[in-house]
Amino acid sequence: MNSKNTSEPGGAAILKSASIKKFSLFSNETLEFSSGLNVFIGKNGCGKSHLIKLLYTLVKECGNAPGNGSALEAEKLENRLASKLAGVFRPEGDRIGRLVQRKTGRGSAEVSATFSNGKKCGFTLSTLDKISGSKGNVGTLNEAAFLPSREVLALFEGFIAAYKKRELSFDETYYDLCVALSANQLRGRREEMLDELVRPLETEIRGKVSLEGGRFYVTGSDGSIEAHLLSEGWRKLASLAQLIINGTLTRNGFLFWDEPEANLNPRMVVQLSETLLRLAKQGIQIFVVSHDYLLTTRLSLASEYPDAIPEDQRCPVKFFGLVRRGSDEKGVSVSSGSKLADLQDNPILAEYAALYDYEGGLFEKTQSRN
Amino acid sequence: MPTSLDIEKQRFAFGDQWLVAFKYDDTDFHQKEAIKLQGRIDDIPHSTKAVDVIGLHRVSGLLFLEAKDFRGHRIANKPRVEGEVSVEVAIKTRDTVAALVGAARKPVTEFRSGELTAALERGKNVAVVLWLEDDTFRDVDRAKQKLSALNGVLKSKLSWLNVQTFVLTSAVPNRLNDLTVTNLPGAGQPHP
Repeated sequence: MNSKNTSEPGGAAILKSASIKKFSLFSNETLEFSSGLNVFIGKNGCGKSHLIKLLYTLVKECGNAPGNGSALEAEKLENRLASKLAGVFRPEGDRIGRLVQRKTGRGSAEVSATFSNGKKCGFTLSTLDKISGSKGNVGTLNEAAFLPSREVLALFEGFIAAYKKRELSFDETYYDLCVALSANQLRGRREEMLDELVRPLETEIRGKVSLEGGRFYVTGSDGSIEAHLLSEGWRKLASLAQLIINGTLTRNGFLFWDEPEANLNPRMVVQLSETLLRLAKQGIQIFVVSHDYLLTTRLSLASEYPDAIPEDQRCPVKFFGLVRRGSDEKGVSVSSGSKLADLQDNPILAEYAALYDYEGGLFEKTQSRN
Repeated sequence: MPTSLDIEKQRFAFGDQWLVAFKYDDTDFHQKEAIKLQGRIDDIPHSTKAVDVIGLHRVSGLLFLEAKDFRGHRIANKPRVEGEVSVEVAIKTRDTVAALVGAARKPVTEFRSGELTAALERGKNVAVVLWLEDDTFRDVDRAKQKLSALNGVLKSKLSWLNVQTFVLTSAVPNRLNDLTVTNLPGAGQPHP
């Protein structure tokens, strides 16, 4: 897809599975991921964002950056993981032991990720903040981008410098994203596949994204418009376009996106669903948290009718439903399947069903008076 | 008076709280009068449509009911389940309301047209119900979502008429007073 791919013969590894014990709300879960699109749904407070932040931490720190060979081997994995967990989760006082599942007394969390090359990476974390990382090297992992639910294009100007000075209370995913967005766009003629990915986004936002003097602009037939003046939905799509154009999102790379549907109108959600499928088709492994009926249903239909959707959107899709469980509801259980209907519990659908029942009740009342 | 009406493979049994319940699209007025309004516009044929049933309940007021049973031929009707069927019901309702006004202006005796048009007056309840069966409705939560979406379209298309609309199926609680719906032999089976 771009120069990074061609420089990695054999390709970088992607995430195959993760085993999570006593971390956050997860008592003991093993998750097998799709090589394409992974969609996490569940009510608020079920640990969805924690889960994709954890996966992001693992893929960000467990491998070597493309082209760096073993340059990072000397650096202790524990230190990298501890720093990343503290930055991404922002526990009070950087006490990462607070991420261990809350129970009386001391305990420890165990997290392990298995990659497509069969290699593993993980850590054990105690409530006393002590972390130990697994030995060995999982090899090359391509770039991982994390898009938080709030878009950052409007925050971008001066964000990186202010974050480094610890003047901002945003978590590290915002900083990482700003760094990724700041990368130069790939030079020369855009490759055809890249163009196919970006063109629909540029059509939607009515222009091309550029970074000039520390500010993002979208330039179209109406001239250049600074990101601040665009709608938040457009800024989200512009961010995605920039990450594609500058080569951050590349084959065997990773995209994590927390509630991409926020601030998008339904038409843009449809555009987004098609873009996610195209990105996954191009070999980017995607992890999405969503509460949106339209987005999740569109993605499920792609899984239900694989031969009927456009060729460039055919990719593996997997859904994960997170549900609070137990009488105290302190843990979560996870069900999974290739379609939304496979999930044991779908809170989005349940709310729509409840809405139907509510309207039915109101309709019934009108039938009892005239 | 209690009345049972068979539509496709279902029986709609209206209890004694219903002053009127009849298959409107089978009436002579529709078949011989209202249907005369037809022709071609831009080479597209148009004709007068009609709902299946008109009912008048002592308390609930006027009901326009359309029954669709897609069980057994899901693929042929898939696009209709995804929204078109609501538009079809809305158009049938429009034409039926217009036809009732016409019937009240003619010496029609086969149904109580004056009473029915009086029930359309402002301030009186009028309900438009699509009773829909589909093979995909076995999963009740998914069925409710689809029914809700279909009702959204129906409501939108009939907002000009100021009526209550709802889409029902046998898998969910019946919201209509004094009406029982049962399957007839062969219901849900593929059509030959």
